[in-house]
Amino acid sequence: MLEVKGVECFYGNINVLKGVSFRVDKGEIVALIGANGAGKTTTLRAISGLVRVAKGEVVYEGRSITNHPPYAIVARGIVHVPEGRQVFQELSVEDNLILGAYTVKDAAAKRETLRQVYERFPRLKERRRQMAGTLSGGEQQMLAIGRALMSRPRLLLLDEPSMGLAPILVREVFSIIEEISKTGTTILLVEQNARMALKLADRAYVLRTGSIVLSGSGREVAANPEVREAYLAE
Amino acid sequence: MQFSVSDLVQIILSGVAMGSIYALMALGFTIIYNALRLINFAQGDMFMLGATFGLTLFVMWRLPFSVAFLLAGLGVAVVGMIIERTVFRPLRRYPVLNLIIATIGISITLRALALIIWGSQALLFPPVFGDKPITVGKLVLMPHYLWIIGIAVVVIALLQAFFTLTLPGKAMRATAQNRDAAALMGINVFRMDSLASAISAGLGGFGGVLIAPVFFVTTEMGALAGLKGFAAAVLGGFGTIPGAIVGGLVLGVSESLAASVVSAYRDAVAFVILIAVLLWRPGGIMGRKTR
Repeated sequence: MLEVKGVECFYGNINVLKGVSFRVDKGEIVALIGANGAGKTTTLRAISGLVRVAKGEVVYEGRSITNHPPYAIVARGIVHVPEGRQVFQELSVEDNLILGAYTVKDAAAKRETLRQVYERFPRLKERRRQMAGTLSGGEQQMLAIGRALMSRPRLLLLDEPSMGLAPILVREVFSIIEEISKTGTTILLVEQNARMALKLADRAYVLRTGSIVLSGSGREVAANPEVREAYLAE
Repeated sequence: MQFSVSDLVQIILSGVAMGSIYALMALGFTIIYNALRLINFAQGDMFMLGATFGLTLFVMWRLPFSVAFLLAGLGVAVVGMIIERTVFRPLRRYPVLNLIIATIGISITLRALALIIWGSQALLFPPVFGDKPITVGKLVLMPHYLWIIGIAVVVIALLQAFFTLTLPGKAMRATAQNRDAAALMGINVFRMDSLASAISAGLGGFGGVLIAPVFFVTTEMGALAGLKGFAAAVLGGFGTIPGAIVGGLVLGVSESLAASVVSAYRDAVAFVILIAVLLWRPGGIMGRKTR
């Protein structure tokens, strides 16, 4: 479904991604793990068109989307939930969700998706008139995910969805990701919480200073001694 | 000096009318600032273009004033769109200071072009709103002030409805709040810049064509209007829509009151008030207290 081929990215003169290659197949949950600064977020931003790809290619469903504008990539069905939620603080919860469906033209479909999102996240329905900035961290994460679901993505890119959340909320977020995956949405998950991510993922890649250094099934990667030492703190 | 109630009402009415114009100008500054984080020194020239376009459409082409008014505002909006596409967008990847300096360049260029087209003479715009005062009981009111206030209220109400009720309006607010996240919603953020630039120029244009029948039209009229609109935006709390409206009205009314006592210092008074308010509340009247 998605193929990232030898992608290189720069921030100024700094080479953040040094030829990253991996693939995500339809229906999978693929985890991308690695330390801070390894290039996980940049990888997602390169896929969604927020940073320029200097070299290499991003191929989605057989067609290159390399350096396409973000709105064109969203229209193709790839939705990126950015690190740190990034909800629109000074808009209501409902307006945040409505903007999630910005590319959807069919009003009836929009209403139906909104209903489904409220069904999945009843807290958001309770708070739909509230400014998004007044929600708790966990609620903002739910809103960020709910907002992404509004356009009915086929590929969901999740950047650190568990960051800064209490353990009970972390488990909730992971179970939501699992549910979303079961409805047929393909997921590329970037996580610092490698333990949970590897348990959930069908396959995983380890990113270190801008290159993929290891790949395999979630279980295989979790069993690798280096990974256990570096990312699972054992 | 002794004021009657009627005098006071007139002074306040003219202040509110001028304040409405300042509010339109201040909204122009606010909207483009929120979108592009830039202070647009050409905003005053949008005001001048509104007046000159209006003059050409109404006096030379003899269109009805309502049509001339709408076309002048829309025409200036198109100018704003062109400026965004040709100047702001290519400069976006450089520091914002470059953009701000570029707006000074745009301002000088537009004034020079206007001078070629409309000349250096002050031009008279016929008093379309009527020049005979109307009396309500003991009050004597100038009709053009009522018209200015009424039309400004409609324009601001439409703007507010656009921002709170329509999808493009919400998308524009979202883009101002978080540009990357807005792009990830599938919003074409450059189109939003273009729209913001058009709206802010259009607001200046409407202000200019509204004031044209009250004052003379000159190609330099944008300088002071721009400065006062900017002052109003700062006074109310820079970057907020309610701040722009309140700032405009406070500036207009206080200026009008001051001018009725010492008319020679009308313009100076506005800026003395600005400095005084900012010493008391650095964030502006409606601004956030934390600084």
